[in-house]
Amino acid sequence: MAIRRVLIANRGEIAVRIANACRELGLQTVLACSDADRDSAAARLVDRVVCIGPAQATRSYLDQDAVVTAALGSGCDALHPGYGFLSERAQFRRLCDEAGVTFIGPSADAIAAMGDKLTALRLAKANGIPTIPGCDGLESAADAWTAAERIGLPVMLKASAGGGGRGMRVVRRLEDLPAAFASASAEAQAAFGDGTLYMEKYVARARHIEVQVFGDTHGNLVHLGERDCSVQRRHQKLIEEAPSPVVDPPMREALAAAALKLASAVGYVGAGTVEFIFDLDAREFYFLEMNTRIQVEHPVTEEITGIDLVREQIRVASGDALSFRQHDVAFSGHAIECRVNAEDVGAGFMPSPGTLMSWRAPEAALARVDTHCHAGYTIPPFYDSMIAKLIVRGENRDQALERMLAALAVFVVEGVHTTLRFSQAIVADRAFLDANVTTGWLENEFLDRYLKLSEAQS
Amino acid sequence: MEWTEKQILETLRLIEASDYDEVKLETENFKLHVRKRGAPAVDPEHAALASPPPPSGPQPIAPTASPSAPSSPSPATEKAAHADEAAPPGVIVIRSPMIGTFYRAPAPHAAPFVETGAGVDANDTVCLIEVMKLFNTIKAGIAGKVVKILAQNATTVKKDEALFWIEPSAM
Repeated sequence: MAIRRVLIANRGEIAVRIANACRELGLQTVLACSDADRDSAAARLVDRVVCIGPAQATRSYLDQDAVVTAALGSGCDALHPGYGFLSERAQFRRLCDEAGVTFIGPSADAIAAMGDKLTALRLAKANGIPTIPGCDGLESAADAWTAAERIGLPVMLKASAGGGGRGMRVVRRLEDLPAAFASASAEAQAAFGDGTLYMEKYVARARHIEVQVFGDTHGNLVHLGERDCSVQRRHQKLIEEAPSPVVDPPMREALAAAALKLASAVGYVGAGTVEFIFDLDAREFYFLEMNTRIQVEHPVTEEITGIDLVREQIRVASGDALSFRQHDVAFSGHAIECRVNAEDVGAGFMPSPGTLMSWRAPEAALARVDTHCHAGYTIPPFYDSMIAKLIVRGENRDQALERMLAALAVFVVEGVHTTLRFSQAIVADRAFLDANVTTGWLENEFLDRYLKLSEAQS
Repeated sequence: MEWTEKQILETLRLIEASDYDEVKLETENFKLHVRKRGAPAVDPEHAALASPPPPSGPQPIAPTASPSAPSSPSPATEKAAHADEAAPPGVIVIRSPMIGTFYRAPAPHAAPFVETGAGVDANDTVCLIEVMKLFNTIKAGIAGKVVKILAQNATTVKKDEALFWIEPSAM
């Protein structure tokens, strides 16, 4: 079914990204936005803007009926959900199906299967994909105690229904388990309405490696290599790169095979990401979860494959076959992305909304900047703190690192606090340069050093 | 605790940069009383409420990112930075430490943290302020009674906007 007009059900840089991809494909665009985003960069790019509610996301971007009504009312035949918001709600996908609006993303069944962590884990196990030794369905501290004795410490408690770091606890001593269970379960209950936890072996030295997969409705399913997103704070990625500097060719092949197997098991259509934890000591990888949306860090894959993932999403949703086959996917060079967040690092990463007094991003020749920001723009306090993604590509990792440092050095933002200088310090750090970091490195080793240094300088 | 010269200077700098005209800070073996030039002497009972900067470090009063850690509201009595309703004498105003969305309850259908007329302890949570998906817990900061709730649930509040009036309990 050919798509003519796309409703963009998102905001910020990804709304701009989708609007540009639609334009290149010759499609009309309608932006469904909140009252706070009427004058945003995306609003200026699209053919039409529909206001779907007030600033609060729960009453606009997360209002499923309002979004579907906006699509129907503006004559859109398709809808791109971006990431976050409604992008991984199976129920929303069903609403779109019922309304006859093509949802640019996988089927409701695939979203539902991967959205529930326990179902996803069971599917992975059933398909022979390595998973972290663990135990699910923990309803009491006593259950947790038995499980911890069997798995061996340290262990991690996680919310069955959750994500984003909420309801997560690392437990290193058995006597800490009851308190950790109680607080994690309460947090999970509050955040997701379900206090059920699962437990898994805690990998002390881990890298976060994820594989980009892509399927179409013609039976094609390919992978586009891996991304390494090991620089994280509170389970939120800050810097991503492709390819991973710690993955060798046999490992790469094994990761891709595992990702494709899982995607194939749910008949995956569209762009998806299978996330793994890579245990540096054991040199083993374990399935973590699958994200059934376009991801924030998709540009690093685009930079080393030359494939426009958002454009491909739209093509696949309209019923076209993927424009490439596995043997067409060639990897060239190395790409790094730094997320730029409006946060005050020195004040515990406190969000920093406000007006941008100046905004000087690097030249396109040096770096790709995916953003919705410009001088004079007021970053509203209602949404995510990410204000830009800075992406560079080099012929090899060293060149990419050099370019990233150069790009960060010339990127100047005034009016709000940002993580730019923080990213600069990370990328310049010996551990990062040597690819000698783990998912815990930023918080456990780097952050203190950075804060002391910036304190001494001020 | 012992205070280093650096900490004292840092504290003075923070007081200098703050909105408070007068700050009294007292620990076991240390007393500091600062009144800014030209500031009128105020009722000492209220002046003592101006929260001093944390003595341990040079970081400004930073509302912490973790929802479990309290952030410091600014219970300022006298000089209202905004043209909001003047609080009656003796009443402490709890102001929003940041721009964000004001929530009176921990979840949409849960009971509010406090109602008008309720007694609060200094450590009681009175509301949440959500800014960029981060929920900040706001504590009463003083024991007393909630005499008025000025902000509407689920609406945007500005930095320093008055949220609650608290009538302090007798010390």
